[in-house]
Amino acid sequence: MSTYDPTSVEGIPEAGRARLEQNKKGLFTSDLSVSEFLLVKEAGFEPLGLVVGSSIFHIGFQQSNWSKSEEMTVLSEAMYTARELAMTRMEEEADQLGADGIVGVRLDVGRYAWGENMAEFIAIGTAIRHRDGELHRAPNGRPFTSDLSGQDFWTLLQSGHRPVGMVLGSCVYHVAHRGMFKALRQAGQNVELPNFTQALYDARELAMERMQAEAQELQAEGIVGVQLHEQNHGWGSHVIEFFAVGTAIVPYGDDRRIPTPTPVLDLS
Amino acid sequence: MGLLDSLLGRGAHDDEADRRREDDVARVEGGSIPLAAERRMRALASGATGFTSGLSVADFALCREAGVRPVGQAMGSSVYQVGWQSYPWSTGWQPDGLGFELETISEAWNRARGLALRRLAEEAELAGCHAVVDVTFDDRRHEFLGGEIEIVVNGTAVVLDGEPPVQGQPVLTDLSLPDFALLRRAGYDAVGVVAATSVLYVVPGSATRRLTGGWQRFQPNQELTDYTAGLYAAREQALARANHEAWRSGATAVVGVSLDQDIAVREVDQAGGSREDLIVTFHVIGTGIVQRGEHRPLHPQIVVRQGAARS
Repeated sequence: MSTYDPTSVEGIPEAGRARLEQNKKGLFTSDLSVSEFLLVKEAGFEPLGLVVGSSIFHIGFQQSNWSKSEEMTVLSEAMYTARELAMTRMEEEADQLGADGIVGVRLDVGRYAWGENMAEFIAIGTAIRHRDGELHRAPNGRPFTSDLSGQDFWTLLQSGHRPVGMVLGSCVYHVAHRGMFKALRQAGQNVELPNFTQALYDARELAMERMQAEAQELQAEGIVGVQLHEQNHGWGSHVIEFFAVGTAIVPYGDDRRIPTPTPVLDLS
Repeated sequence: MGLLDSLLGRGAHDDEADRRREDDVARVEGGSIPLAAERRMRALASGATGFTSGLSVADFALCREAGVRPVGQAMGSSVYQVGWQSYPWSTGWQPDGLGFELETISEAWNRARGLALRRLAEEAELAGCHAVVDVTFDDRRHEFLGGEIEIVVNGTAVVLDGEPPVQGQPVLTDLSLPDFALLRRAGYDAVGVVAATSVLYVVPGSATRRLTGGWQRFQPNQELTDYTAGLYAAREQALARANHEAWRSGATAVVGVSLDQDIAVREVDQAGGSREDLIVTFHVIGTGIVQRGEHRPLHPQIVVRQGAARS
């Protein structure tokens, strides 16, 4: 990953800078719901403004080998770099606002009719800052990012943990075609297809391993809310992207425990 | 591939990668998991890396209180080719409806899921876990697959505080972590996930055919008994299988049963007109439990949510 300069405004367009200036003066915009907003306040944080990062990326070409299951490294790298870029731009915006972190991050991939080999990577979230400047950033100096909702953020802090960053792992994989003779031999039988099983396993493992590596870099205690997505971004039927994303957390402060929950019966 | 290398600290040598792939395919053929998965689970167990989990924050917050420690996300998968299935032949003019189990398809589902679950259990066992909670089932039909199905099972492997180290296979359950903890607190243990599939082929008899023919809208209200009987039989068959499996695993009850059904219509053209046969698929999934000691009552507090949405 590239070195991170917190004062950089390189990725932010002119209109964005003006908007951030306004946010700095005290007006905040956010896509938080009312209860999210109140719980973020309750947790001791102030919302500062909506922060956005976007990158339209040209995804290169890689010839796949018909009979070989393998990672499409060119495509993997594109997906990775583009997401990184969008996230970094969002973090830069947050930095301009003097934020400690960003909650409610959504990471989307948009595709447009006007470009077959390109995709827009978008990161949107709400920048927040601790009221007394108590909780800080991720160990790498960046504002922490998390896809947690306001409610989840509050609950996490209650349990004595805080988010350090959104961690992701991606792997674009080509699943080999089946040999004709093999297919003929097995025709009509109930059998497992180990080559396919192995290929899909391999792809998922790579994605999860990368996500774990990112968490390790952040010196996280663990990752919660891992979601595994499987997508095909129009690369033909045998190529799929596995995308794992979750929020890395670290313990903070004293050893805290949530009060014993009471079982409730909801009559409404 | 500088970026990915730096993340994983290794380079891709083609020969080496090929050899590794062949080894992995051999392991999968033996019903086991690829080496990378084994390594990942061992690393998670050693505590050298942080844990991974699909737990929501609320579930995670409950962990310490419930005496449960998440170790890692575990997974099992199997791509399975469904063999050739002959459809029963019938004139369709027999007076009563007919139901046949499509045994090859039923068996394919049951075996594929069995394989995926075994791999999931193996991953959790490697990490020395007592249980896997939140086990979800997914059947995927990738574009590159024809009639093949992929079954993926995912869950979070956990260690239970104060329990002796796990002997043999960990307990799998489709219950969420709060439900799992609640059950333990009330004096019950989960034994394992119980799942079964049955696929039935239903041929309507002549009476039903007349009713569903061209003039159906002029018929009075009445039950289509052949279709009812067919769906009923498929559901019972799947439940019976699940029951049997639960009984074999030593469970005394099954909770959280979900029934998933899929009905496909197959049009058959024969001399004398066409008819609509049904292919009915039922999946039953639940968790087998056993009472450990005294039942401890929950004494829930009653709440009425204000401003609750009407559903």
